[in-house]
Amino acid sequence: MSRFFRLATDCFFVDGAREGALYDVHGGRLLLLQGPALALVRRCERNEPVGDDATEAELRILAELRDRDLGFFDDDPAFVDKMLIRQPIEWLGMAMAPPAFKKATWAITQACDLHCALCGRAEETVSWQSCQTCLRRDRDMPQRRLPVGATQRVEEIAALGVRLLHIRGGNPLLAWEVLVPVVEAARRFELPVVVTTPGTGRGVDGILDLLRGGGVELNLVMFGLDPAAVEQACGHKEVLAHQLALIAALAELEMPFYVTGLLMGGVPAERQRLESFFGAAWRDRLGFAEVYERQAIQDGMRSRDAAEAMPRLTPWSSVEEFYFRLHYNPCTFGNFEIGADGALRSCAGLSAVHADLQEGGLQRALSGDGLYEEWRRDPMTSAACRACCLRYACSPCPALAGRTDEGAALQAAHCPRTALGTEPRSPDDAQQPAGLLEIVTVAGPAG
Amino acid sequence: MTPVSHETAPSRASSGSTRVTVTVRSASGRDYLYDDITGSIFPWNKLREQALAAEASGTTDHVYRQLEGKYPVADIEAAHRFIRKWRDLYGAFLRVQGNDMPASPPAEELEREIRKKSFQILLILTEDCNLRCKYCALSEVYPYNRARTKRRMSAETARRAIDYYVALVEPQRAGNPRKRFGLSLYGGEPTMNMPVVRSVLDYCRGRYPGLFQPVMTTNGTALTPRTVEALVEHDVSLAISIDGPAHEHDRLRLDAHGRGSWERIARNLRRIKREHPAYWANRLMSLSVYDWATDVEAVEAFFAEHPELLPRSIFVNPVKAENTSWYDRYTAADRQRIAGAMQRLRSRYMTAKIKGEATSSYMDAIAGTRIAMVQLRRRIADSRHPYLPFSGSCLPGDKIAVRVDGTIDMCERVDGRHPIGHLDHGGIDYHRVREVVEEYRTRVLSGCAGCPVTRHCGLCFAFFEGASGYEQRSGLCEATVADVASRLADYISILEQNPRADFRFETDTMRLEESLLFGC
Repeated sequence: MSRFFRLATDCFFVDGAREGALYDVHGGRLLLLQGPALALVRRCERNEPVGDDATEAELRILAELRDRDLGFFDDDPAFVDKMLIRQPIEWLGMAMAPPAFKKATWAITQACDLHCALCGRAEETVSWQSCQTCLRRDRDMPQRRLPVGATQRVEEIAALGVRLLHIRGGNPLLAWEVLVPVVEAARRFELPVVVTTPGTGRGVDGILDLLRGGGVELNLVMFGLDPAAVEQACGHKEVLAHQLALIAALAELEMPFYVTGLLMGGVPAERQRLESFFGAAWRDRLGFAEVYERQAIQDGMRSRDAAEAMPRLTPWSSVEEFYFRLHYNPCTFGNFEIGADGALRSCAGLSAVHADLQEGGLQRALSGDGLYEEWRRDPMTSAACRACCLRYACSPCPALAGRTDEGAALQAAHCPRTALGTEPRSPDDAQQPAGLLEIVTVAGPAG
Repeated sequence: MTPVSHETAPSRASSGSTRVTVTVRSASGRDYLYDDITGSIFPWNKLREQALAAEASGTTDHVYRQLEGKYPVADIEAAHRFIRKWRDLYGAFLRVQGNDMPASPPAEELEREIRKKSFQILLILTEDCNLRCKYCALSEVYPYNRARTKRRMSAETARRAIDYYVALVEPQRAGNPRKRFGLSLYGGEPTMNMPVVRSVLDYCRGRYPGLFQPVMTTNGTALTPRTVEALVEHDVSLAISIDGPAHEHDRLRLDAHGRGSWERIARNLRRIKREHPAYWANRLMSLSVYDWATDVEAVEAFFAEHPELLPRSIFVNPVKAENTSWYDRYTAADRQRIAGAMQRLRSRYMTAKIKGEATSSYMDAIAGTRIAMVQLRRRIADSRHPYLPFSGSCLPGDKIAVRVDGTIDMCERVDGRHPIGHLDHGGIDYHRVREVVEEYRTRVLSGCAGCPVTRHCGLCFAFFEGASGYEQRSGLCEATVADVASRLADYISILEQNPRADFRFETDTMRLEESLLFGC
């Protein structure tokens, strides 16, 4: 007698042509389907019966799914109304729900006292997560004076419900006359601040005085720990010594800070040195960004270090987060950047200008649609990513999305699916039916 | 994995819980269960039903022993796990009674809530009209309603209303730069007060550029070239009352001399299309009304056959049945006739959706809306107004309708006997809102916790206005539950045959998301 098998209301099947994925929303599990398992699930989702001629392997797959509460057998075909957690409604042009602003980035200066070879050459380079660093798009871009003062700007940002103000540049320490009022205003509005800087341009004592009032932390951009490598990266000899002195002072005063390792041209050794120096306890506060010459990518350069540092598949931490990921890019969502040129963009790694703050200010700039379009998932992922069945467990940097040609190698190096290989196996695959693989994820690069 | 946070705490089956589900059967004969706790629809069968019944009665061990001879053990265990999973995550299927109506909020809290959520202001620009439609809300047909007068809103009152409203919603604007608010230009017939229409539109553009989305509801007879130019200039969406072809429309929509209005409307539509084709295509909409004498199938054919003339239909509503003797003129045969016609339209709509064929906008509005609304039902994470649990109603203040003299009502559909404020007295009176809400909660909502279709409920204050305030209407809730069950069955029946069926349609207030989960 034929029976039918359908996936559960809260189990989503994403077909990626050559393989598929099952997202167990409440269970937080992600299963990869290949070969016979994929073909079988496809047939079942088309309401084709599981007849008496079903193979033992097929029955084992379906039993496995049933026992994991990912599907059910029934005597009749069924329509399965997949679970949603909110009304699928969008009020016509009225933006009923306020945008969930998370982070505002403000590049308060173009000025920098370093001479990093790959900085300010966005057209000739490819970068990954440069938004976490002091990298500039265009070192020759003129800086425009904004029409409102620092305090008013901070007040506007705070009124949006932003949870973090990220100050970057160039080197914000060189714009002290702007930085101090911004920090003081942010304190008044109880808006946390992170200042991204290489730490140069100001004495250690001056930096500590700024931080002492609380509410602000440094994100120190480092180029490595080998003096020669650092000098090659940033063009100055004494930078590393200054940074180490600053770190020591912060550590002595128990002031928390972040570090972002900016790797130029893929220098794997410096990444390892930084990870060793800071140790496992720094896992959440040590990040990395990379910037490469486009030509080097075209010439086939690959970052072996990046291959190890790639973002892993990240399981969703809540049901809400799962549904969020269906529609929004976790990287861009909720963020905007006020450039040193007065332009509104999504982040430092993306070039599209959404508005000019000189014309009507921040509120006016945020009333357009461009920024919010870049918050959505699809516009900010590459064609390859959109076709991948694992895309909802992945958080690619959208700065790579538009560069599928030049950045293909770099993007591939950052692709968790690539890391799984062509014949992925779970640690205990003898227990898995053929073609059904529960993907084991890790939280991130070992630190 | 933590479930979605929601208002009702999950609980095990216990006395004091009410099952809040609806079981429906699709056209193919398959059963489904709608759960009002989560808003989910589950494929259903006898085994699951017995598992849920056992859970609800606390007799799971006994029941499962009985089932062992009838079903494979693995299936019984799977059904048990299914029920337990949804019960543990969300307290699905059963709603705990007794603690669902929080205390009435103080006025200050209501004010905060309204200022956070209000989304539309309506200006009743005039109580006058150049027509005498037989079912008019301002006529003797509705004795509780306000009556037609010659009063018109002044430009000053209109500006004051706008200023008041902008101040009211200021907390939203700071945190939502994209937020726009509805500005509805209403009447009577608003084109009879065009000087004030122009004045308020100019005022909004000058003082609050881009803040409002204006829409005008009109009988379409007085859309002179100059009037239309003003509406085009300010990008006003235009909802025109068109009940059908001339003989149908002119049956009920007449002027003071008893003359039909259809020809005037048709002339205006042709001219607008000729002179402002983009505006005609993008901003004009039809509103239609029908009663038991309407040949709705002929009207649908008329709309289907004349898309070149008729703007897309967005709302098709029956003549309002509450507080009127309108339908006393009709017989049971009339009722049967209209029911048959509606059934045939419904059937054609469903067939078209199953086959992926196009449907007219009138068909979508009269037959499709009720089905498509299933897709738009509220889900587990959609919050309700805490003061109006389980109700589909707005909170008074979510919309405000300002009358010609500055009196503020909660919307244009209410009969006007329960105003909530006045421009001259500080605007919304939040103590009055509290009184209105409390009366509504006490008299109308007390039984809602046991309702299995609260996430579909569209009943609001306007439905429950009675001779002495708000009152429950006998049979209305039961009819609503039955209607929702029917809609659920229709919805599921379509999707069983065509999982890709396109329910997308537009109204002046909502559009389905472009891509739903994995449906594209």
